[in-house]
Amino acid sequence: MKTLFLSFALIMSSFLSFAQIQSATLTASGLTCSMCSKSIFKALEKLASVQSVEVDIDQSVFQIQFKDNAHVQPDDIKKAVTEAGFAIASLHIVARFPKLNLAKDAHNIYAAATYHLLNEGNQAPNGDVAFRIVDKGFVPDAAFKQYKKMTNMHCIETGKLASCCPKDASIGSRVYHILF
Amino acid sequence: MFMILGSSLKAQELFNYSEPASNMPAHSLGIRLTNNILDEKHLGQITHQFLPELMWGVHKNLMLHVEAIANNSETPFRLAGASVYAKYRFYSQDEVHRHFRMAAFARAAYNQGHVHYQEIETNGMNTGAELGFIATQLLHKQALSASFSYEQIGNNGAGNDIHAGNALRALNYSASTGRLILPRRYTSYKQTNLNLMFEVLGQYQPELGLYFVDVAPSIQFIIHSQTRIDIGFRQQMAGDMERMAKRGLMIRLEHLLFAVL
Repeated sequence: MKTLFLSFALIMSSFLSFAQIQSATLTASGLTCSMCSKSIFKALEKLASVQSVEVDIDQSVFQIQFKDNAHVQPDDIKKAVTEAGFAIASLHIVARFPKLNLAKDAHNIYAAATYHLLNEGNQAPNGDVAFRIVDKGFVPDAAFKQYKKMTNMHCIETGKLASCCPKDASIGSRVYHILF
Repeated sequence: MFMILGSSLKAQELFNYSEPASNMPAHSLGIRLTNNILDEKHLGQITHQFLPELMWGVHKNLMLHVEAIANNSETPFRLAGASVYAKYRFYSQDEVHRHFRMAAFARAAYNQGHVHYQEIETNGMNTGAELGFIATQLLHKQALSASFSYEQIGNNGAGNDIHAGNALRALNYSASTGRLILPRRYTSYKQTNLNLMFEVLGQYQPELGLYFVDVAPSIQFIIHSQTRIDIGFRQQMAGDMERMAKRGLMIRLEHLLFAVL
């Protein structure tokens, strides 16, 4: 029974992860033609968490609205873009945070998701806050090399929590590196 | 003025007579119906070659084609063979509105048609295999692509052996460029795209020292960002080998079904 309860709690906590993400602005790279753009559009539309997608084909920019209380995983967006055959140039997220102090260059666990804030920025978010994910595959390779220098922690390389992380963090789970 | 024109001209990374290094999207299916209307002087006829293909984006880096080969060369219109084609993208450097990509491809073909010609072509004429590389550079205003391949053939099926003395190996190359003419500015997936392309296609047979070089200007319409209509004309500019046709018209219809698998 205890195991069952723990499993339920785990499922609920993973459901809560990124539940507050409202929208995202994606710029894709590696394409110009509308057929290529449409392949990304269709892949994004197919994600269970996506409510709607608006596109500026000329600029390769996709404005994504997520469903209320949807389980939004930024990795799903990356997967949709790369499987369509292209790459992410930038991904800006708008998420709803309660008042929360995020420490710089530390792991901030919030609603079962872990954010590693790399810059000073807005460290006490309240309400809808925009941030950018700068993990590998979410920015061009050359830019990633620069962002990597902003921390000495190994997790920037893998995107996963490692043994150096705070004790309450589950090793191996996803950590998103962000800039406000 | 030039800047305005420049920023509105985009490149086209889909070619008509050659494949780009890019793949089709993963989990997608495509249907491609290629018609070659060939001036087959040896028979004194216009030959119709029909190549229906089913295309599958297996993975972001891997796509597969299965193709049937039919024609009316020397016979009533009939199925002459089939081929399978695989392309694997192994290098990508993507930036906004540009990329440099490289891919390897392979084709294996079976054909039981008559073999009269010195030209080697596993995509439609010979039983054999082809292995090659493609590099494509997409810049904001221009797409350039080059390919190189090695082709090896054997006797065709149904007792149609290669003529004694003909070469069994060929080196192929292609250079392609394409440009989007319309629309000037993308506003919707429903806009019909008009692309112009120019390609150079060549073959060299080291065993006999024979060669040909063709030029192939073509036009491409993309409807609803999903259906392609390609129309091209291929003409030999130089060469010294016996070929099925030194010139031909190509009409192709292609339709993609995105994210259906």
